Amino acid sequence: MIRTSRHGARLAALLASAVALPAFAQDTGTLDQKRAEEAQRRPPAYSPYVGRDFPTRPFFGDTHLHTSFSMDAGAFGARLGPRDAYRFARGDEVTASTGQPVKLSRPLDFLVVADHSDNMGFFPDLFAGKPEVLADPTGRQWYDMIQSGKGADAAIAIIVAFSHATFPKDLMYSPGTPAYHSAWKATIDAAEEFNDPGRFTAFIGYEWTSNTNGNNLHRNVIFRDNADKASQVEPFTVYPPYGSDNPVELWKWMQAYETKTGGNVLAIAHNGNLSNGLMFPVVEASGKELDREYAETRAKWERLYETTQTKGTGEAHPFLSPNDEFAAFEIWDKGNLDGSVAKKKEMLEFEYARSALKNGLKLEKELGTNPYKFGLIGSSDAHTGLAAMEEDNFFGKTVPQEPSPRRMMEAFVDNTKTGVKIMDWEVSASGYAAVWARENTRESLWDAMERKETYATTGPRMIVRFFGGWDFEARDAEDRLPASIGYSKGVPMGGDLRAAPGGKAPTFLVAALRDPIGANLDRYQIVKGWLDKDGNLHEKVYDVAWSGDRKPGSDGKLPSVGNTVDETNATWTNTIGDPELIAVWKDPEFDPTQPAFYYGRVIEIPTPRWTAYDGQRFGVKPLPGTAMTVAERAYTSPIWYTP
Amino acid sequence: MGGYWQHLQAVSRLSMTAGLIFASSPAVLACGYHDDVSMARGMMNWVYPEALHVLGAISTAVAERRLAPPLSDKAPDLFGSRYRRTAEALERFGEALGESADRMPALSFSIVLLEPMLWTRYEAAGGRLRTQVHVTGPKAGDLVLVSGEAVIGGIVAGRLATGEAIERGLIRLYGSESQKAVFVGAFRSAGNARPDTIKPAAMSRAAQSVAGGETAMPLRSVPITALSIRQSTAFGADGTLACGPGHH
Amino acid sequence: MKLFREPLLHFAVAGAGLFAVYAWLDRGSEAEPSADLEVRIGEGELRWVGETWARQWRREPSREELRGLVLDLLREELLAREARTLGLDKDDTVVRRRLAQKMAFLIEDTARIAQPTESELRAFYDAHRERFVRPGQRSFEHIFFDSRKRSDAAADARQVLVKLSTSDAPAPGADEGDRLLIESDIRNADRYAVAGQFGQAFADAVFALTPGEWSGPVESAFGLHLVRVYEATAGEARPFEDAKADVVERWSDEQRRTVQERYFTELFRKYDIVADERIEALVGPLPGDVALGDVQPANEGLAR
Repeated sequence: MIRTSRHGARLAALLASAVALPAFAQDTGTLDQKRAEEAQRRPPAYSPYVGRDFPTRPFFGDTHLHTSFSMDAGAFGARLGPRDAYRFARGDEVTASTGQPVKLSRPLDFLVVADHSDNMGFFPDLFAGKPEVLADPTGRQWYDMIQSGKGADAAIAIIVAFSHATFPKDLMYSPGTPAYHSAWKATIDAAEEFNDPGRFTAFIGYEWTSNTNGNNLHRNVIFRDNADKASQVEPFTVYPPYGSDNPVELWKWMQAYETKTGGNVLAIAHNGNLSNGLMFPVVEASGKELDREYAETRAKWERLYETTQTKGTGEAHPFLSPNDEFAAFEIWDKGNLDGSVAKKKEMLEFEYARSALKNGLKLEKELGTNPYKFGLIGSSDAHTGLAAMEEDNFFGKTVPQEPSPRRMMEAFVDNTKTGVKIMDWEVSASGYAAVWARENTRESLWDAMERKETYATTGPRMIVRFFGGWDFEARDAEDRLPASIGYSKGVPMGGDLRAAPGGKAPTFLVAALRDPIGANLDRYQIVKGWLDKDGNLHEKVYDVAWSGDRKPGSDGKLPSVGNTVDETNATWTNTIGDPELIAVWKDPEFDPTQPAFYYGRVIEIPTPRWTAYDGQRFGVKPLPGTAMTVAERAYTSPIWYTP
Repeated sequence: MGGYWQHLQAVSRLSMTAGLIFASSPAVLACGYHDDVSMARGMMNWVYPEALHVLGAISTAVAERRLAPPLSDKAPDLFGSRYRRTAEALERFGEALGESADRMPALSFSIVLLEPMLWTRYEAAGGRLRTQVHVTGPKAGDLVLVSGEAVIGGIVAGRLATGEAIERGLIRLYGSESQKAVFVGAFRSAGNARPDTIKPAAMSRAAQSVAGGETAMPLRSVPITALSIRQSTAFGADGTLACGPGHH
Repeated sequence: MKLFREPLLHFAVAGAGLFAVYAWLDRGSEAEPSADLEVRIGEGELRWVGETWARQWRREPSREELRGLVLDLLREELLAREARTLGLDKDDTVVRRRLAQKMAFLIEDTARIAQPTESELRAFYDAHRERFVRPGQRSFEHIFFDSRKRSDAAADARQVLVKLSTSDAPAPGADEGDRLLIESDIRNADRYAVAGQFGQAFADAVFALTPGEWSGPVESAFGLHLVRVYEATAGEARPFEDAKADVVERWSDEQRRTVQERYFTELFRKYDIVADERIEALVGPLPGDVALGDVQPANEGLAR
């Protein structure tokens, strides 16, 4: 167990019982069996609180949203700041940077404004003519140009300064400067103002954006703490001399923060799909050979991975998983973040979550610790201040991609040198993070993230349960309180199976309920990865629950659920699929000597993609090849089995 | 980007800059899709507050079927024909303004079309408007109009009055209140199809095609500026500095 | 940002705009033909532009600055006069709407620049406590009847309802109803939270139920439910410090509206509006008919 010193004590207090549970089970929020059974027997009206110290509902949010405080978002015209972002996420109507009113179909439960730490807050300050900016001759010049109507020239001057590394050193918003301090303070103040425990959680956070040579190694850093602790530090950056592009240095910063303040932070990496093979290394990282220390440190700080977002979904890749008919989902595999280097097939293995989870099993054998034992979440990475990821209410990734008749037509990345071209229509209206927490507070949500009791969704707010244990039986799926059974007889998503009792194979209680205003469900699948005795890695996808009375064919594949989408009119119906799926599944190919992981994947019936809504509303014809339907999905954190 | 792009490069005083930003060292491109047209467009929102609300207004107008949507033009843009069509439309816009004014005010102004970030200056001289398409930017003190291709197309085609475009936020004006008043006063009716001034038959082909939305998509250009650019080799050895604002 | 959004120009312009509009509104009452070529500017205008400047820059304008402001104002007025002479304002919807719009912005701006004092905020908070509340919550249990699994889920639900209301046991038997992945016991949920889990219509229905007894069936996004609300809390007041940001927002909102209302009240007084009976019946009493200061922020009559 890696983090006993940090969390053992707190978790023990949270859990119903700390008695005689194997150490590893403590990380997962297991409920004492006896109390759970009692709770089931008792009529709820007599004592509704009994047995309810497990999470009873998932909270939905976004751990990755940029506002005008992010240098690039500002450059793209984002005018909404952190306050607007929180206001919007909690359900208020706001005006987008392109002047369009926008409101969520329902509020989110939490939000992390994660602005880029390098140059945080520069744009609002420049255009406000802050003294810090005007003190620099170049800053003064730009400001004067803007004030005298030469704004267009100022804009190009700023761009050129960046492109050519001639940006004045004194204007770099680096930690330690008063300007940077005030930007960070404004970020914290906004979170404090909108944090409303029990109702809406506004986390303090930022994004550390290592992007050397265009290879995406970005991480979001999320604080468990309030302003008193978070304001004792300033974010870690990339630009030297204050920062570094090496994740190891970020982890040192995180450790230093915890040591200094007694607080807690975690980091969530994203877009391995744009890292060109660098996100999940197996041999060396940042020029240094992988060792136990790397594995332990990474596993300690990086408890979650952002599996789906606007720039593609990174669960699995068809090249790596040729037998997985659902692997080709919102894939971005043409190159790195800036398209400067095209993708090679051999990079893929080190970019996608499933292969990383598999390689982690192997690394654990070699190094003693699994560096890639992460849970899964989704988030938006929108640069608009708007966590608007519903297909029929998608406000894009950047301001130029806010709703417009042109947004399906243009290129998002167009590198004429390498030929890497990604169209704007390929941007996904995805996703959100679902967190099984006891209550909607910074502490409770953060602790749930820390123990990986989370799942990713590509937008819909479906409820997904996933429990693993040795004793689940078919009738548990008929029970009225599957969660009580789940917690009492097993561990939830993100947990570890206890040692295998002789002769038993792991069983899983799985359940999913569709979004109350969303589409029915097609199927619930379990993805298993394992390491055999010869050191070879394997994976397999099992259909474990599905709608209707479909029967798997002779090839073992379940027939398609069908499709009700009218792409032209952007409509669909819930006449296929089921609102709820529930089952108990037993691994038919279990070998107790082989390490393995299992995670759930829930797939919705096809619905119109945002491109279909755009086509219908603006009366525009999509470019040939534009994806117009989407089978939305959820990915749970894995449950691991270690012999 | 095709021919239109090349054309712009050819006429651009700063084709060097453009070439550099788009096609030189990978380090420059470290910010990926943050091409400078998008950034220049984005910064309009700061320089001319809420300038990008024009985009939202266009979206609304297209959704309400008041403006033609852009066509997805798949044909290659040979020899910069797209640019020429837009340029012609802008010339025609100048003419339409001139025709609509009962008395030509002594008001020079600049317009920027947001999609290609193309600046055009209309200089009042001798009771006429002289059009200079593709200038580096507004002259100091100019009234600045922010709009989009479809809007100009609609006005030139006689389907949209300038005054209505302003009312609907399809054109935003930046300048002194008196400049704005003079502009609205003089040109509000430009674009109102008045049989005596605009006959469809007399409309230039360019105007028709622009109105039909054929200018379509990747109409891109760079805002050109007189800044002198030295080619720097210091693209940050690790590419980080070069990335600048480009992250995600 | 603030500085840039509201530069000096903006206020000079606003001043000129007000002057121009005022002059335009005013010309009916002071129709002196000889005044056509006369532009009056006096202590009032001077004070107004000076004050506007001072509010923005937090200092008095210098002599030179004041001179500039006045000159701008005059230039603007002269241009406006010329434009009117040319008849640019006649029967022109655009000009009329723009003028009205400008006026509306102007009034809003005046409200926006004034910063509230702490005591003003407190007074506002005290006067509108009902606006600064945490929303009411419900705790309820529910029994789910799955329409997909039952031929007549509603009838089954009603049958169980009868049983529940006649039996002494406060809780249903463990085998009533069908399974739903959402907990059967929902605690301390506000309307938003209930809507997020069950759909809006269900949430509205639950919040309308009388606490204590079983009711239903109520329809959700998933099927039918019998519901017993066992705890209902009304919204509770948020302490001032907690609600302060919202108070500022609402205060400014209110301020904007009040200024607008007052302004319209004065306008309605100033003009003699002759309406036929039909119109009068339609709009009711005009804002000018009530005493200044008594104007409700609510929209009445023609004020909107």
